[in-house]
Amino acid sequence: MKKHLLNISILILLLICQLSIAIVFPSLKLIPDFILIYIVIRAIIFGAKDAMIYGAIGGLLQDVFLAPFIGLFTPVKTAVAFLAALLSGRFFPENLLIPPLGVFMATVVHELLYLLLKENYLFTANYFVLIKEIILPLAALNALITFFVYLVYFLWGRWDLSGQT
Amino acid sequence: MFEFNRNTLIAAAIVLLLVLIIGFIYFIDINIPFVNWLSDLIYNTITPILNIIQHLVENIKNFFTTLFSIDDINQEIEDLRQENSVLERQILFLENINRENKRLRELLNFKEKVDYQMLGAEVIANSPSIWEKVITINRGSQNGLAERMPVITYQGYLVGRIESLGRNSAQVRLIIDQDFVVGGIIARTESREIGLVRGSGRDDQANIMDNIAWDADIKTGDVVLTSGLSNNFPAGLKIGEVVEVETDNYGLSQKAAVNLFINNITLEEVMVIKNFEPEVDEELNEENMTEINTNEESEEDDSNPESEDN
Repeated sequence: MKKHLLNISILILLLICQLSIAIVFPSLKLIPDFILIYIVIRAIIFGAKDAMIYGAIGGLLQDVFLAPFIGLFTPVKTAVAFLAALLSGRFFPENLLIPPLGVFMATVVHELLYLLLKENYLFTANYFVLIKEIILPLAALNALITFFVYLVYFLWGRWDLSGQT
Repeated sequence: MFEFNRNTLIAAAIVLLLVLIIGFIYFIDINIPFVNWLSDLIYNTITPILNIIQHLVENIKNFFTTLFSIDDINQEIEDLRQENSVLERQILFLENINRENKRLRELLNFKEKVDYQMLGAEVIANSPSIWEKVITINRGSQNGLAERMPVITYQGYLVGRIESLGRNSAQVRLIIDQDFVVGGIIARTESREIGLVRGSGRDDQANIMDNIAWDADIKTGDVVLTSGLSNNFPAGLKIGEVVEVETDNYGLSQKAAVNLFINNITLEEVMVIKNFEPEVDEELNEENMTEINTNEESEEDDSNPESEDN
């Protein structure tokens, strides 16, 4: 229970960051998806079940700020969390490039799924332009953030281990 | 490549089921009271935190701005004092004109124009998604706001309309959102052409004004205002400037790219129009009015089933 409360608090904090970042930096063109980054990293480290729960909660929180409570982010984030969990336990923690790569691909899948489910984008969107101008830069930004976050997580883990021995 | 064990398959089945249930609820648009209550609870809990953060950021920004530009501020105060005295003289002059205008209106039996009842608000959050162009403002139902109220900037540029309400905050769907449609009219003495302005979904792209008559007199540089024909927005709010005109529907109509005025400013403070009297330009063709009204309402009906209530 304590673990769930902590993780939900982290998700709320990340949502607040996501909502406020454009207020702090008004010229920012792309808003990084902190919730997605958190969910994918959790999926890679802890597996599908854990990530899916927080994927659904993160999606619900994001949907609250887009009018209807249950919107598209809830199913999309849950599905992406499950897909990201396929990477879980298949690489060495020392490999710092896998989590950013996972987030990069998860962002592409996440945004494409969202566009395909969004009625007014489905038939009118120029997917090539959107992928080139929005989705790939956003995926790169999310991947870059993930690299530093995972690096900190990895170094913190090592420091913690060396402290114990 | 990937070996699925029993747990993974169960998890996959749960995901699929969850996605189907949530998708069903989303597409059928079922109203579940508990879900609405939970949504309101989360929304009303998080928005005060966003409000505090916004004020904190604003204070820090102001502190550093004051610290590093004290000379500029002094100069600006001096300029503003001078401007203020000029404006005071102009107000006196305009008051005379206003009185004269009122008197002439009475003589001609013109309907009195009603001033908008407005409320200022600060932007406390942006959209959590790049595909949805929504902002959150720090005024809500407690301040007398209601859904579908128009939102403008202090310069009079149309920003959007209120989409949903919390107690002390509201979400505003911006004019650049793909779901947004508003009736526009060209503001030129020789041309009063009308059309529908649709959101492009992107900050860096112009909106499209379509459904313009094939022989309409419209050209680059024309200013587009709200037509006010749909009763959802008052007439005369500034939308943007025409940057490109081209034929549409194989020459049966025209469409224009409209560069929005709000793209050139940072949205920090906005004003909500709480009450306005819809006015109808008598010069407009009655047929066009009916057509554009129907189009706009039908577009909004697609995105918002509550539009019939208004």
